[in-house]
Amino acid sequence: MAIRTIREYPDPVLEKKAKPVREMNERMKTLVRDMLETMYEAGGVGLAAPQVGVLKRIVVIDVSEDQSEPHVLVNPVIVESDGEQCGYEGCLSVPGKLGKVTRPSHVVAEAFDENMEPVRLEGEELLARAICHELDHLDGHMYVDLAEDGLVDANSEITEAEEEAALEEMDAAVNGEE
Amino acid sequence: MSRKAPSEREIAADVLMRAEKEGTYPGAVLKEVLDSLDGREEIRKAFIKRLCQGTLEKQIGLDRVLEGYSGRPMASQRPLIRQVLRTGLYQILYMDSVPDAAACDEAVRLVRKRGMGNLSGFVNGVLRHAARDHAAGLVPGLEGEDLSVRYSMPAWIVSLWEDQLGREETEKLLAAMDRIRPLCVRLAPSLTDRERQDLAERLRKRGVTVERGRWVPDCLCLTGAGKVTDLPGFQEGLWTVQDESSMFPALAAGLSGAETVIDVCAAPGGKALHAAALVPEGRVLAFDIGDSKIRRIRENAARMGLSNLEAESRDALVRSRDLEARADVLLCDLPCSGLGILSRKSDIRHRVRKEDLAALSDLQKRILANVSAYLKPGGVLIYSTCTIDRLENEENAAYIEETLGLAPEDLAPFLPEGIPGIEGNRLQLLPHIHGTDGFFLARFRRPLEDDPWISNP
Repeated sequence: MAIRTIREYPDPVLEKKAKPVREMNERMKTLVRDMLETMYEAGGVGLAAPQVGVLKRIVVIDVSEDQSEPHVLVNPVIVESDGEQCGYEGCLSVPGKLGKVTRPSHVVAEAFDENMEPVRLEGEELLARAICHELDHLDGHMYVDLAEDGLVDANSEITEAEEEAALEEMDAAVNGEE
Repeated sequence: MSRKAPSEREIAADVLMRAEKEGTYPGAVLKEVLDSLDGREEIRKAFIKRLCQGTLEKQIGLDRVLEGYSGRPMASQRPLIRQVLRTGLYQILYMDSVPDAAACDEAVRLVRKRGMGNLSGFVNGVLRHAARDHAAGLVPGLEGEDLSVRYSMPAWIVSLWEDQLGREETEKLLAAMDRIRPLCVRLAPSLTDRERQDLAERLRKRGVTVERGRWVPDCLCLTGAGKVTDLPGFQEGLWTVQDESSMFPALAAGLSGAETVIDVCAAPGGKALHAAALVPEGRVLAFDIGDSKIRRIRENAARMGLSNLEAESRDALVRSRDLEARADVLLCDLPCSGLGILSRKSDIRHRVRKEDLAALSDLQKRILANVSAYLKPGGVLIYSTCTIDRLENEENAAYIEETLGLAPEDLAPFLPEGIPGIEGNRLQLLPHIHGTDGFFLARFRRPLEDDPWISNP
């Protein structure tokens, strides 16, 4: 197992379309293990193979608190999606930034796992968002193109006015009530 | 995809979750996390701190209310959900400037962000229900007869105090402990009236509310002080942080200026510094275990310009032959359960266990038996603790008298006039009566005739 280098925007490999996996050989299995390890090490909730420079249709996702629910999706496709959620997301290939993106609130993906057994993954909220975000990578799409109001720094994902209000609220909570 | 940067509320929930999981001192986890948030505005850090400390302080009551709404024991909730509910309800009940809707929304957002969207409806339901009832003055469980729930105090501490003080007094004590206490500082006794006025003026200009202590003329009570080391006069050594109650031991010693004082458990040094300021012609030997504690005492002594204080690492349970019969005054402010300072240290109440009291009382006896040999014949011993517990206080005062053979001496002549509650050589300070932390002290004198036990190891 090894930590691989995460390619950062605007690395051209991130804009290329990835190719389907035909056979789960040892090289592919190592890739999957490395991708999980790399994602966990970076504190991410999802990673696609092109992000580590490999143009294969593989993504790994784990949105659990304690890195206990890894999903490996090989040659995934979204077969159902409905609803809408609008919120901020970020990407390991665009460190320190966030953007507001509208995604479906519920999606179902069909894929193969690391043993090439068929799997079905259904997700809502964060998981739905992660599935969409990672699958986009396989077609060379980045969330930066979908971000509605451009990108913001990860530490200030809300507007200045909201920020101001939140700070005032905290100030009152800490100093105003003693 | 990356995770979003954590919000202040998320950080607070994580601190509490980690402290609970690791069974560590929440204060230590909090400090570590706050230190790691370099670059975040101070006010954000202050909010995290207040939310963590407040939630811990009210935990028992919060849990009772939450169990009422959710219909299941808090212990059965997932760890994150447990802390999200506690911090959410704390904001609703105790942070008036946080709109209830914001507290609910943030809680729901956090639960979703952490991949537990299936529980967001549950969290939303519980908190909104509680917010509605709170607005109508109907939050059940908090206003009832059960003092443990109302004041979020472990039941065994409530019954300990009910046994010692009666229910009525206990209720007053709990109510007083619930109030946020000002920061007390002790002025250097050498300051002139003019210098005192100037200092108070400088503090007020910084937005600090300054009041005089209730009993001790050198005590000032500060509200809204912020970071202590940045306040006017601190670096110059005009004052040092010390609760008014802990100024009593050095006063009770009746120092006249040239005595040798030994403080056997001196860290962080408040009482030793006080004594050193009162014996300009004498000296203070301050002991404790651990180099960092000793360093801190020395730093404080240097800042306060007290060259007559020597600090050294020594174990109070081990007899130092070179100290035998050396002390005119022996300060024994010993490790204790800390039940008198629960309003300052919100996590003590969840850490101290009932069985600790007997063990601490025993430890105090062993220290007293060891160090009382440091008294000169005719020397004065001041025993003190920051707790409200007969086993550690009154019982050990009796032990000093009966087993160690020291004579009790009246406290009244040495303390400011009008202090209620002095019983001969003993005084239990209580927050609801004295307006200080809870604190116990007792005064003794070693008889002049030679005692045979002093040469025994």
